Amino acid sequence: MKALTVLAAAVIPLVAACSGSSDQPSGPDGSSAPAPAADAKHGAMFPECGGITDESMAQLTKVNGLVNTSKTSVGCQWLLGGGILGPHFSFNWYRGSPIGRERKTEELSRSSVEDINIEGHDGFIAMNADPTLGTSLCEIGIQFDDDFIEWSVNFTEKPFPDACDVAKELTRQSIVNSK
Amino acid sequence: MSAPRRVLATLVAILATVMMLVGCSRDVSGQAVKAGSGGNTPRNDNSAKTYPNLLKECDVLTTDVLAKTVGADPLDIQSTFVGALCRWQALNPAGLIDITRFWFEQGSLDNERKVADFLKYQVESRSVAGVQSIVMKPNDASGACGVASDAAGVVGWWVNPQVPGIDACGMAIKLMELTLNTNN
Repeated sequence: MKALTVLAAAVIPLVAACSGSSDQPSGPDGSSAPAPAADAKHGAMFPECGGITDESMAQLTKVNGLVNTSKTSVGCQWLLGGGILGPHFSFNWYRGSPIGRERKTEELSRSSVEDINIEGHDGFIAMNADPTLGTSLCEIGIQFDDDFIEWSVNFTEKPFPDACDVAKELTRQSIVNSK
Repeated sequence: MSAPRRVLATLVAILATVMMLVGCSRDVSGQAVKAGSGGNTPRNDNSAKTYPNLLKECDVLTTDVLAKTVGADPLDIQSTFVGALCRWQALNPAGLIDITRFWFEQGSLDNERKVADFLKYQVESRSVAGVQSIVMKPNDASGACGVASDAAGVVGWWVNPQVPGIDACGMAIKLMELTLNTNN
């Protein structure tokens, strides 16, 4: 989940940490412990950055000068000029991590979180309204068995295209690119 | 961001961390059990006892420690993404460095290796702090490097410099050693 502000970055983990306990099953005597890690069923395989090129990012976000600062096995991040001042866009691929915890974190910190289905796969769409910018942040998480992907789209300056339209299109293309 | 906000950020981060530790340290515990360790022990307890540092989500290592490890001033690091995946950016004198941390409590080192192979990264098996791990190198001009370790599911660090000439693997492995530290 995008760390919106300094304050949010510090407080959200706190909120998430405290709230997470209620929706995580735990056997009181250990006998009903959840299935071990080896039983996790992994979902589709995604190419690096969800298969989204820097050109596609520029085209969809209408932001010029984006730099992919973090190509990794768990996702990618695009920042204006490579720095954190400005819009943030990221692809994130979680493998063996509950989507429910991420959604809960969003529900505690965003203006709205709703169900969504993209290319036949279920997940959530979270958005946040900024007092001056409007809905400048949109995040979409889509489940694939015990895995999920999340696209985070955050604009910081007008004018900008509909953040959720951008997030939906990035998510759709990533799913199409998956194997 | 400006210096006063940095000070505020530090204070808030410390406050949040302290509150987490005092108020709900047991609640952040993950559910993953190390593969092969059986289902008799509640997974949260197992993780907490074995790797106390692993359970702090994005605060597993303080930003001061992160900054120091990648050669940045503690004032020159900023969180950009939080959750089971955490992202920061730090300013090393040579250039900006992106740091990514992941902890997939139901994940496995085997699956991370499978994905790294799928992405055609160069993968090397090694031990980090006595824990089975892999080091991943994409074919990246800036020398990006990732490390994943078999601990309470799978935990990993990526260090992505924006300029060449930075020992990203050394930094990622150091971050993992600190994460797997079982003594504090």
